[in-house]
Amino acid sequence: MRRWWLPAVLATFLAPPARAGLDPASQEQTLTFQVLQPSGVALHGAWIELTRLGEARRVTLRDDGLGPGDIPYDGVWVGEDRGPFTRVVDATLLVALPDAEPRPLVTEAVRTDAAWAATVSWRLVDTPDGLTAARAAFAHPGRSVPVSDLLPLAGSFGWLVFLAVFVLGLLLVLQGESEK
Amino acid sequence: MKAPWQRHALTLLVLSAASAAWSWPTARHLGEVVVMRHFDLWSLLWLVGDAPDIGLDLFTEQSCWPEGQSLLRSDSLLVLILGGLLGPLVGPDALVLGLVLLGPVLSGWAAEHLAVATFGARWPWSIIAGLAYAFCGLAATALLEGHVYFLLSPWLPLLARAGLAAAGPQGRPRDGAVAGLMWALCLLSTAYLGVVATLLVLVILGRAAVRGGGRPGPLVASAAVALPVGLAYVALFAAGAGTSGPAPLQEQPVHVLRAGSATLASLAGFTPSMDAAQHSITPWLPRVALVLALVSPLVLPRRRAATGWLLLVAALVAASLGPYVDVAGVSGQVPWLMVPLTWLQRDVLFHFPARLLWLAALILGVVAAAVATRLAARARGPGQRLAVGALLVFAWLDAAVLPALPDRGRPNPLAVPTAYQATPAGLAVLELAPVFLGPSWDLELYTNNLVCSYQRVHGRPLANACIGTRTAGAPRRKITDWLSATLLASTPAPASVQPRLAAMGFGAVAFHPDWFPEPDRSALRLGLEAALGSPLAVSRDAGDLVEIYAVRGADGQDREGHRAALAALLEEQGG
Repeated sequence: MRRWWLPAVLATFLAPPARAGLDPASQEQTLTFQVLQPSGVALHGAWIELTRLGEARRVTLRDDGLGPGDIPYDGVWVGEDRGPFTRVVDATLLVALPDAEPRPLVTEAVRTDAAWAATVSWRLVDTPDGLTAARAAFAHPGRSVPVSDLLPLAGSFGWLVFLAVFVLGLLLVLQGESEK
Repeated sequence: MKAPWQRHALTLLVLSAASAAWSWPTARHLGEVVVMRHFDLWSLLWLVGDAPDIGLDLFTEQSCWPEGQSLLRSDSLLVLILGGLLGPLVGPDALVLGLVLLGPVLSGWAAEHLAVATFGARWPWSIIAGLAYAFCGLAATALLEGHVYFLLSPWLPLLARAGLAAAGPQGRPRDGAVAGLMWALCLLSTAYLGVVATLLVLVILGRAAVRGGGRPGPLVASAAVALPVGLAYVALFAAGAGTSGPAPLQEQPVHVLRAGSATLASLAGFTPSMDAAQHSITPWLPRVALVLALVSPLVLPRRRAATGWLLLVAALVAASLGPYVDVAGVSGQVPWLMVPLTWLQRDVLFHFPARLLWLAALILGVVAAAVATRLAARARGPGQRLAVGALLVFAWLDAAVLPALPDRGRPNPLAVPTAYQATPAGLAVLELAPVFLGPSWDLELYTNNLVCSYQRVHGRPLANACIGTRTAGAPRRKITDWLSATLLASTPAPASVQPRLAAMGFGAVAFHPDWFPEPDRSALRLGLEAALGSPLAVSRDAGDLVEIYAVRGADGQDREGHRAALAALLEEQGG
């Protein structure tokens, strides 16, 4: 009984590695495309045209809640493309303003090198010369990119404050004990 | 109290669990996937794969074909040595995965040992030191960037252990020799760890001079071991001057120094934008260790006071901010300690002030372990012991979970496209990929390093610069500029392609169509077929569509002739 942990240690170090049969040729990968619509600009539609391992594909982005994981009318247009794992795709973002034909905003090679799922995001910018698109770290519901971007940092500060309160509290309790 | 071997086993188990958690799912898909975010792991795989064939001249003809590339200024000579010795036995993938998974375990174990042996910490509280050092923000950056040789850094805590012992009144020559060896290993690991180790040695020597009582024997032994290695390193580095090629615009001194510095935000944590645009340089200090170290004046007895060490941490944090105090790397121009370096209009060779914080994480960790030990000694009753024990849990979460590495990184399959196996053995392969400039500069390095990593399996020489960031000066860039211009010209001249490529020693062209936009993709494919015939092989595995076109008539043996053919091409191109 004293060495109850020994089997766990042996199991950890000696067991053969768990293999899920990962084969990039047959591994399905989901590419999620997100486009953040600027305030005050109405969009009629948004699409991604991409070349995935030589195959041309077209992804329709939606913001009506019918797309995968989409929150309706939150300003983030979302679409997915499923297929074999690919490290880089050539993608063209097309948007249609009301009563206008779809037009390409940007064409660029984008990295999608995550084995099972990758997300590629653009932020639309309304300039005097018309709409432009710029890559974004990510897009989140409710046009809250700047706030969401800071969330991990806010979490770090919160964690630090919690630790400081915990350690100071511990110190006070233990100090009181030693004085007794 | 458990037996020493039980303590070591449990320490290694805790550190192993943290290592597996933060690099998940690398351990689950062992040998198939590795977590990374940026692109340097691919060039590391290339280096380790090439290391067994590299001689003492540190020159390889497997890269920058037909000119070859000097490795005198490699980031890590230790990786070259390990690759040369162990690569043939275990293979490059296993060696690099070993650095990812076992590196932090060994580094953490060494820091734990330092906390016990020198700072008065007791097990299990000493594990806080291991977690704080091996899984600090800079370690997370190393994993995401792919500089995973930083993760194998037990040398710094072992240097501190031996150095402090050697400088003490009971110092033995053996301690000095060990300290010298550890300093040398720090330097060989990376020049930055060498700088940090040198700072630590200076502090230890200064401390000994102030306190008095040191002996000359350990110092002599230390110098006898460290000096030859240090001088050899400097000689190699000096010999490598001018071998790196011209720096691109993105690498001007001010930009490089700012990008490699800590910001007020990155000292506290990370944001998705830092991962996307700032190479995940997030050198935050270990939070549990920071809080415990800050209360150390209230907890530690006077004779064990760590005030001097904490002042050193403060100085390191100040220096890590580099030339300007930035809130988040995008705002503020408040000049700071290293601003004079930006006045020099040339490369100062010191690009990453943030890396000074390796020493800060180590100091905070060992001081925190000592503080937790004292708190545990004061605890009475199960409630208080449980509360102190929670510090261990918090330290583990701080190291393994809160960096959110599996989420921030990308599990990348290690597979290599099978089409390369069809390329003729002994002849070079020309990688035909786009030139990515401006905001896509990272993609240029990613695709360059990725195709270099394929060489560890196919073994054919490449014209790419497989190490360093100066891809513009590589033969690959110059040759593909000419090839693309020839094939995309309004009047293409495909007949000139085969003889010129053959004269330069290329046996095949590897075309990556997905990386090109239309209509260039189709035009290049048509041009290649007109010049070289139908593809010899096509593969869609490994996440990369690769079409191999054979170049007939190359022999690969006439190196001087190949170099002369490249020189003639460059002369024609005006460069």
